[in-house]
Amino acid sequence: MKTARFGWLTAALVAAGALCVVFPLFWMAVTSLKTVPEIQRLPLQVFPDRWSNLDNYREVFQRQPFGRFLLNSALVASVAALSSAVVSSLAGYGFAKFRFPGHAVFFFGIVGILMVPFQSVVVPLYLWINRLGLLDTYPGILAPDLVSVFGVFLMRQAIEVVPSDYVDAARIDGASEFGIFWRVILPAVKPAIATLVIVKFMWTWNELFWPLVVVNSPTMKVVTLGLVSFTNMYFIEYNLVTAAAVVSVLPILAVFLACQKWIVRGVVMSGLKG
Amino acid sequence: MRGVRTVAVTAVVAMALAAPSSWAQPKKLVFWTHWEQNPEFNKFYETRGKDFGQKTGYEVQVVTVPYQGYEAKYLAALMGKSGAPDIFMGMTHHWCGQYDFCDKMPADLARTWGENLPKYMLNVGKWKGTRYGIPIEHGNFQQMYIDAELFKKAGLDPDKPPKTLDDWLAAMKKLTVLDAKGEPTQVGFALRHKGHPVGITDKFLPFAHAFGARMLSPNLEKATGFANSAEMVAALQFYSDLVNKHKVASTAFPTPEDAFGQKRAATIFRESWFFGWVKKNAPDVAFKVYALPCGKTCPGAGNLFPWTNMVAKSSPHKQAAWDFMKFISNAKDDLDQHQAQGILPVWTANLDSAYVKSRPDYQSTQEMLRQPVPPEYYHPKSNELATAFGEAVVAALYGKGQPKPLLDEAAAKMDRILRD
Repeated sequence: MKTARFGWLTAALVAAGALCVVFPLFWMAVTSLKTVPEIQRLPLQVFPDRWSNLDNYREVFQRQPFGRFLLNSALVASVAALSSAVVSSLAGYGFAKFRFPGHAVFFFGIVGILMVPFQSVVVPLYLWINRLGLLDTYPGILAPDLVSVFGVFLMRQAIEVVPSDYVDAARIDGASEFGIFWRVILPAVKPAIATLVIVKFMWTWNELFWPLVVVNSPTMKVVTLGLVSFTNMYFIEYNLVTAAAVVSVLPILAVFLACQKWIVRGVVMSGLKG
Repeated sequence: MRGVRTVAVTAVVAMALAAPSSWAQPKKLVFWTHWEQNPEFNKFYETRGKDFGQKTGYEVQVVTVPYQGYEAKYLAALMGKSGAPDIFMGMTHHWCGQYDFCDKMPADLARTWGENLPKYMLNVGKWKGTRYGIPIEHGNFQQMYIDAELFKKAGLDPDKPPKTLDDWLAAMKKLTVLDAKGEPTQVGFALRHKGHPVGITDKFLPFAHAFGARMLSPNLEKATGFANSAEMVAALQFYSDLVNKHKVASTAFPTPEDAFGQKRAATIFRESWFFGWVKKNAPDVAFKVYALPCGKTCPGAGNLFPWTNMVAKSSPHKQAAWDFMKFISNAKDDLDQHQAQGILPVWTANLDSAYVKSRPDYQSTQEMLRQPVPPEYYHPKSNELATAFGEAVVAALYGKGQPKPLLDEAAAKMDRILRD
């Protein structure tokens, strides 16, 4: 009896939590179907007057090349995720299975970069990217995201638990170092790699600050820049910003639903929040 | 493995194909602006840039930078020099005062602007007496928007707006509706109480000026004795009393614009752009625009955000950039550009044009311009100073202290900012 009551309580708490998470998304979706006066109307109404009102979506695509923004974001986020996975797994392997002078200092030095706010390095980074002639290009947008410090940390943690005996056995069998990495280590840490790819994809997709600094042309803008274009110094166009947000959240939602298992595992592995 | 390779090759090809075409066109003046809300206004530069291009070979490319974070982008680019714009929009005292990024305006062009600006704008675009920037926004001062229906319901005549702060407060009391618990369900005044303190300061300053107070000394070197003067204390007391004593404004209400649009507030003080917002967002609000009420003195046409166009000192096309500015510095272009966007033109010659006369804020704007020019705070650290000051205003509104000690603390902080 006591257990059943506790079960109900748990279910109610979980349901309340789920409602808190889902409600903003729901509100965003219904607002995107309202006209501007409907949004201002009092008392606040939950549902739009007309469910088939897609005018806001039409205006979003008329005002901005939003399709292009989605494509740019997909490209940038994919390349950043793949590149981070490659670099991080190689670095993680080095830190997990090799001992060299200054190993710990070097590792904590890299992890320490996590504590440096990106804003503090943006000017020198911009100067560097400018000197390389990469402003307003995909490589320019991607440059700071090709390597992930978080990824190095994650992969080092994951590879460290792979028994060193496997590595030694492969070495005795004559495998090269890269062969060991490719045939022994990588298959053992697939879940961690999948987690890194997904998390990095989502982070890069949501990034605003660096693209804002480095992008000039409308054709090079990513989806976050498209979103902020519906807010300005005076007001926010709620009807358009919610429609654009729905459009921009759909791909990431699809990725999330498809890879939910890996994301949850990633959160558990890394203690990651948010 | 083959899949990964295919993705990588596709990505590289896509990057190569998508490289922006602007890199291949050297004779282009790049113009950065963060006025995203004014696309037609911005497009005008490109349209006239084409005409300019036929004479000189230089065309104009407008880059609209999101307002969120535009300062970081400007700073990085202008420090980087070669990745910087030729012309950029911002506040002169920041980019030419705090930083040394601006080219001085040629004397003949400076003279043209000096001869054609309304008097309250004469210092807009100047730093230490030298003109760098071209003022682009007139009407960026607050005026009083009233909801005519709510005025009528309260037994007030919407055609006879309150002219003094005392009359205004009396009207606000009539316009406020309280519930059984004594909390307002409708307020007389839509007051800004949330958001960045700079914005809070901006909205409070007309009250301060109406009380004869000023935030800084006339030479902008001192805050103590000004930001905490007896007049300023009285102004902040009056302002916080609107919320805490008279309850004619409320911190429980949403943004002032929303409260006005939802007919929960009968008046709002806002700039000339606001009537476009009301028409679009709250078309059933019947509103009228009037000059702000006066206290000891009239608040006058003043602003904290004097937007201007400047030419980058590092631009390799400085001469062409100034030539373009000269090309569009005339009454016709001024009117065409501002009318295209539905905002007020800048040139005095246009202030009585048919377009301006047809606007609902024509009379109020004229009246505001007749008032004395209020104090200006075009200091390189104006944002930091207004932030420190705004924090005191917010604290007073939320009843976290008395105006005098809050302003004393703010003034001391502002003096430290001025000294640093």
